[in-house]
Parts: sequence; C-alpha cells; structure tokens
Amino acid sequence: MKKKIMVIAAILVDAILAGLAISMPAYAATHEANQQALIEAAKKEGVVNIIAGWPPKETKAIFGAFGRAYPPIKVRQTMMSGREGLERLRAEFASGRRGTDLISSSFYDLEIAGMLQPWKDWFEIFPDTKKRAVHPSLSGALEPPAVKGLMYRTDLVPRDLQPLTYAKLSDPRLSGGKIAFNIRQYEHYAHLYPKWSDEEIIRYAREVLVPQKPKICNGGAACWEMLVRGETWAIPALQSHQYFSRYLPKGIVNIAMGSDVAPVDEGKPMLFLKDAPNPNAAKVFLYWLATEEVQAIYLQLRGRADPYDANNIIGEWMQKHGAKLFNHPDSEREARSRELGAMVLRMFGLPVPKK
Amino acid sequence: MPTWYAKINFSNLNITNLIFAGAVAIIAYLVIGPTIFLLLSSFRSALPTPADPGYFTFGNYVFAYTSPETYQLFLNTALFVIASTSIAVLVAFSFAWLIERTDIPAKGTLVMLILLPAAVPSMLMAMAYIILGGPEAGLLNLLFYELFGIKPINIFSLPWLFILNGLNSVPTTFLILLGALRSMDPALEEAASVSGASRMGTVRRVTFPMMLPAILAASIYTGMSAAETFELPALIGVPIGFHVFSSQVYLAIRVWGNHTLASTYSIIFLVMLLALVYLYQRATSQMYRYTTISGKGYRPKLMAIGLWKCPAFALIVLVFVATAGLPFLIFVASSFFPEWRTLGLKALSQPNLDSFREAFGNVVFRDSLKNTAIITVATPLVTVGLMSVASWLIVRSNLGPKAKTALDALTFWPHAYPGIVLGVALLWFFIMVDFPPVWGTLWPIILGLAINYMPFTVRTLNAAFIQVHKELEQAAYISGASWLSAFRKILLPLVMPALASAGLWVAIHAMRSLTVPMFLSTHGNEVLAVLVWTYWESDMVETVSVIGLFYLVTCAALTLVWRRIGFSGSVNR
Repeated sequence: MKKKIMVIAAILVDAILAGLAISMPAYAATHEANQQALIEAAKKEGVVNIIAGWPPKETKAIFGAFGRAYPPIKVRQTMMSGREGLERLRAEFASGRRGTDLISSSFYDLEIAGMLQPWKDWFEIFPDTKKRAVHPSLSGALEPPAVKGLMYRTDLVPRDLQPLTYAKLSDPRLSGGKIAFNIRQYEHYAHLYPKWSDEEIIRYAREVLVPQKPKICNGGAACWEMLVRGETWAIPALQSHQYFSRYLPKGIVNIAMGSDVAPVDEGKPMLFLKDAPNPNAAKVFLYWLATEEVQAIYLQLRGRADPYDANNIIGEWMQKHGAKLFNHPDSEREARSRELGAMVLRMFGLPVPKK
Repeated sequence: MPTWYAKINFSNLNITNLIFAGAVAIIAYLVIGPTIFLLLSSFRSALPTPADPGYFTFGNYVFAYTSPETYQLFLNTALFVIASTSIAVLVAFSFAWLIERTDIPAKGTLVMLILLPAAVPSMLMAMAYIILGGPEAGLLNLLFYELFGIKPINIFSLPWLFILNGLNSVPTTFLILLGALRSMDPALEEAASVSGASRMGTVRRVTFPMMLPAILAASIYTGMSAAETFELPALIGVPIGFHVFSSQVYLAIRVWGNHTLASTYSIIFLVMLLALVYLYQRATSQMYRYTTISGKGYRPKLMAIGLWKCPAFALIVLVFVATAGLPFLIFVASSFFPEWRTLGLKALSQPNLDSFREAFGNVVFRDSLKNTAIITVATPLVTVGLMSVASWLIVRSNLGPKAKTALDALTFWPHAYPGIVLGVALLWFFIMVDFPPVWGTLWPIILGLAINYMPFTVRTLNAAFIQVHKELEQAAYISGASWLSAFRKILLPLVMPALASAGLWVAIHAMRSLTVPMFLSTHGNEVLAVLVWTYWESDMVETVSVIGLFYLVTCAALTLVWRRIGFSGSVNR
C-alpha cells in the first residue's frame, strides 16, 4: 500500500513537473508572441503622436534612440505645456478627429475629463518591465490595477515635504501680502499624496489661502516672472536653472530655495489616451520609455539623481554657480526655507517681509 | 450686349450664376457660421469631453459681468488703445506731414523707412525688446551693467507696452494720413501763409483742423487694431498683471482651459469692437464734407523747414531703427551668439551656428516651414478668388442696393473680429459642425485667414473695379463673350496690379499670423508663427531668434515687392 502511494505520489510529482516544464515555455512563448504581435501592429501604424515639452535637443536624442530600436515607427511631438495640451485634447475629443496618442500632462485633469485609457496587460506582454529602473522616475507609474500612464520623474519629492509647502503658505507674514500660489501643484500633489483628499484641499484653499488673496498662477514662466518682480518670495521650483539663468545670467550663489521648494523637477506623467489613433505604437513607446536605456539617456540629458553630479546638466549648473541644495531635518527646514525666501528677496534687492 | 448684363437673371442655372451663388454661399457660411457657434458656445458649460458632454447655462455671462476683473479689462483695454493710438497717430501724422508738405530730402527713401517696419510682426518686435530690455538679462541692461554698474531698462512696464504698440502701428496709420494729406488742397495753407500766419500757426490753425476728420478716422482704425492686438499685451502686459480682452481670451483657454468662458469674453469683446466699427464708418462717411481737392491744378507748395531737416530726418531714421533695425540686429545677435544669457558680453567672442543647426535639424520646424509656405500661397488665392467675385457683384452687377449692402456688410463683418476671437469661433465651428470635414488639415487655418483678410481685400478690389469703365466689358459682351471670359480676359488683366497687391498683402499677413492658427493647430498642421510662440514659452530664445530672422527677411522682401507693385501713395516727385 505504502509502495502504491509512493508510486502515485511520484507520478503526480512527475506530472506536475512535466506540466510546469511544458507550460513555462508555452507561457514564455505566449508573451513573446503577444509582444511580437504588438510590435508588428505598432510598426504598421508607423507613428506615435505625443504632446510633451521635450525641447529639440532631447527629442533628437530620445526619438533618435527609439527610431533605432524600432526603425519604422516615427515619434512626432507637438511641443506644449500640459495645460495647453489639455486644451488641444478637448478640441480633439469634441471633434472626434483624434491625433494624439500620448500626452505629458496632469493625471488629475485628464482622468476627470475621462480621456485616459488603461493598458491592462502591460506586464503580461512586457514582463521584463522594471518597476525600479536606473532612474527613480518610474516609481510613481506602474501602479495596479492598470497602468494609465508612465510617471517619469527626474527626482522624487519626499512625501513629508508636501505639508510644509502648504504650511509655508499659511505663514502669517504673508497675510495681506502678494503671494503667488502655483495652482498646478495642488493637482499634482493631490495625485501624488492621496492622504490629501479633494475635500481637504478645498478646505485648505478656502480657509488658509483665499483669505490671503493670493495671485493664482498656473506655474511655469508666469510665476517666475512674479518671483523676479518680487511679488512672491517663494514658489515651488521647476527648472529653476533656466529661469534664473535668464534673469541673472551671472549666476546665483546659494540659490537653493527651501527644502520644500527645492528645485526638484515635478513628476511628468506620460499618459495613454482613450481611443488613441495609434494605440500599439503608443504602447511600444511607453514600454520603451521605461527601459534602462531610455532612463539613462534621460538622466544624462536632464535628470538629476544627484544635483552635485556634474555629469548632468543641472548638476553642472549647480557646480558652475556654486549653488547648494539643503537637506535638513523637518525642524530646521521651515526656518531655513524662510531664511532662504528672504535671501532670494535680498538677492533681487526687494524688501523682506518682517516676521 | 447680352440681356443678363443689364439685368442678371439669377434664376437661370448656368455657370455664371453657379459661380456667383457658390461664392456668396461660401462667404456667408464662413462668416456667419463661426459667429453663431461662438455665440452658442458662450452659453455652454464646457467643451464636451467623454466624461462631460456639457449643458446650457448663463453661468459664463453671470461670472463675467459680476467679476470686477471684467470691468478692469474694459479699463485696461481702453487705456491701452488710447495710449498706443495717440502715440501712433502723433508719429504718423508728423511723418505724413513731413513727407507731403515739407521739402525734406530723399522722400522715397524715407517713405520706405517708414513703411518697412510693417514687415515686423508685433510678436517678434515684443520678443526682440524683451531680449534687449529684460530687467536682468536684457542685452542693453547687460551692456549698461558692464559699463556703469546699473540696469536701467525694464521692458515689462506700461509705458514700454504703449510705445512699442504705438510704433508698431505707425506704418498703417501713416498710409491713411498720407492719403488724406495728399487730397487736401494746399491753397488754404498758402492763403494762411500769405495772410501772415507763421508756419506752426498754419499747421495748428489750418492743416490740423482740416485733417481732423481724417485723423479721427485713422485714430479709430488704429484704435481698433490696437484693441485687437494680442501679442504685445500677452508678452509684455500679462507678466506685469496688465490684462486686456485679447490676452484674457487667450488665458481663458490656454491657462484656465475654459473654452466657453473664452467664448463669452470674445462676445463681449466683439460687441465692443462693433461699436468702434460703427464709429469708424460714421467718421469715414462724413469725410467728403472736408474734401478740398478740386479740378484745378493741384500742386502743393512745399514748406521749407530749413535746419529742421536734419532732426526730422533723424527722427524718421530713429523710428525705423527702433521698429525694424533693432529687432533684426537683436535676432542676429541672439542667433549667432547663443551663449549671451550665461556669458553676457563675453559671448560676442564665441559666435556659432548651434541655434541654426537646432532649428533646421528639427523635423517639426521643417514641417512648419512647409505648412507656412502652403498657407502663404493658398490664403491669398482663396481670399482674392472669393473677393473678386464678391467685389464684382458689389460694384458692377445689377443686384439691388439692399443685396449689395448686405454683401458688402457681410464681407466687412470680419473687420470687427480680432484674430484671437476668430480663432476661438473657428475652433468651435470646425469642431462642432465638421463641415467641411477639414479639422486637422491646413484648411481651417487657410479659411480662417481668408475670413480675417476679407475686408481689406474686398475694399482694395472694389476700388480697382470702380476704376475700370464698364464700356470695356460691354464691348466684350457685344462681341459675344460670356461673363466668365470677359471677366477673365478683360477685367482681370486690367485690375491685375490691384489683385497682385491685395494678394501679396494677404500673403505677408497670412505668413506671420499667430492668433488665427493658434487654436486651429493640431498634429501636422503647425505653422511657424505658432512654433515661435511655443518655443518662446519654452524659453528657447535662441531658436526663436533663428526663426525670427527668417521671418523678418522674408516679410521685408515681400513688403518691398508689395510696395513696388501696388502701393498707391507714391511720393516720387
């Protein structure tokens, strides 16, 4: 009896092993076949249209590399900010004449407008996708249940910085004064930090921000113009090197802002649009963006894993101008950011609000 | 003479009537359609999206009329219009008077210097001055800083905004005033002079009062253009919080993403401009009362201005340098010395062609260049083609006076449309109607520009058709020619200079137009003006400079050709 059981168990184990042995290649064959089918379909589409803000130098490198990887597929970028891109998409959706496949814009706006489409079988087709690539930009992207876009980021804003950003705006020194508030950050932070619900944000805006009569600003150049004119003493920083080099070409020593407004780049989601006209090419491009090769290119072009690494453009700029970032504990951070805000004002020769 | 010439029978179905009916239908459809959709859209909650189809609402009007910001817009727009128009009219009148009534030398050259800045798009002028007079990194400020340790210029200020817009309007205002001065009998000035009036007294008490209606008409026309201007207020006004209607329409769409509110602002703006159009028409309709030109020998005596020749000459040259020379030089400097923003004046020792490589190596730039070339050719063909038929119907056909007035009003209606409002209206029209199904192609831009330039084209052609006597056509008809062949073989060759002039004018303006294509651009139909705007917003100043240089050279060349073949205000005496 015992021998019989042993034989049956052995047969079962063999069967399982045999089954596994057979099914593994079959699984591999399935995803490879799917992958191949997707790539072939993408090649037939031949083009992927994106709306993003990559400057020509970056598109040359990134699109060039994609062209080498998937020769027949061309990437065509319409250079626009996310806000402008959203306006363009509204027109596209309303007309039914679709042109755009992917857009680098706010998750929040597009999700609310019902313009996004999940790519549910990304990981089945491309199981080699790395959730943590060489560059930290992917960490916000590949979230279950389905990927609606790829969040590529040149750096991450630590979660604990977010309340400080809002806290700073409630600084009583700003009461009645002119401040700029980057409204885009709301949406962005709301998405990144779900602990801030819509209700909380609205409450915060109503009770803290509105009484101060801030100038609402959509971010970007307009906010920087305001900063330069002294109408604000700090705003969340974005690509500060460009704008400061525009206004202060001699460079700024210890620009740095505060930690909560440290010049970290905001997240840049590349979003997959509902009923995209070239869905397969768009998927291949999205997947390809997540590869190490592209992340390395992007890091080299723009990224800033280490702002003191002169091998990337921001690090190079920081080193050239002797600029420093601050990385203090929370207790020091707010005081430091105030001090830095005042420093920015002094640098521009503007009056510093009294505490 | 065929009977239809005496009385066209529009009930007949023949090729002539098909052309007439087709042209009128297209014009009516293109002019009225967008207006209706602009109005309807202002009562919608949003542009439809998959999640929100939108609904009917008065909310946009309630918001606009209860917001203090809207009343501030009225004030700001009025201030901008009055200030910049005053500058334009003052400078233009001085120049017209110097050219027409004084013995200032080299008049042909001076007229060229006054008119050539018309080739500089206001967008490029504003960008050039920001590069030059930016508060911290402006080239002029850098120079002053190197020499004296100060940065004295801040282009982001209201006086600069008014001055730049005023100077930008000088060529057109000059043309209007020059024509009026030429048609004024100088005998009155001579009589004043004989009676012992001083030179300035004659100008103040005779010339100026006689010119007042023309000045008023020119002021209203220039004021309307100023109100419609978008680029300068957007580039220089918005950063300092100075918003006018045109920039508000832009912000409503591009920054707030609120298309329907943009439509509401557009409607309010349109009504305001219609009032100005009405005033303009009233002013010009009264001008005949001041006509002093007579059938007698007309040869004005030129006033000797003696030593004032030099400063007057210098003033004209200075305005030319400020409005055309400097922008050109700035774009040259910024294109060939792209390191100026980080190196300052040291960049002058490091010229390179990197900006040119970057621009011409970019596929979007090449495509935009191709699209711009197509638009530059197609827009005048469409506009002049349609307006030739419309103008013939208005001037030479036996249509009833009411029908003629209606057609005339239809073609003049777009004159009240600021480019940016027309862009919004066409966006709604082509998206929602989808007929013709041209969205995403170059056609919405070509048709939009054709609408925009209808009023100028039809007025130019009306004047040309009036000058050709009907007998020439009648002789053709008696000889058995059809309307089409008489139009093609007799009339068209005779008015060809006017057609070419109008076509070139449209081509120059179509090539550089930003506001109409801005909202009609999609993947694949981008044009250079929109690309310049996008690149500027992305801080790609050096690439903008390269495209700006291309623009200035091309526009200047076309303007010179235009002046050569069609400018009627010749002063070659």
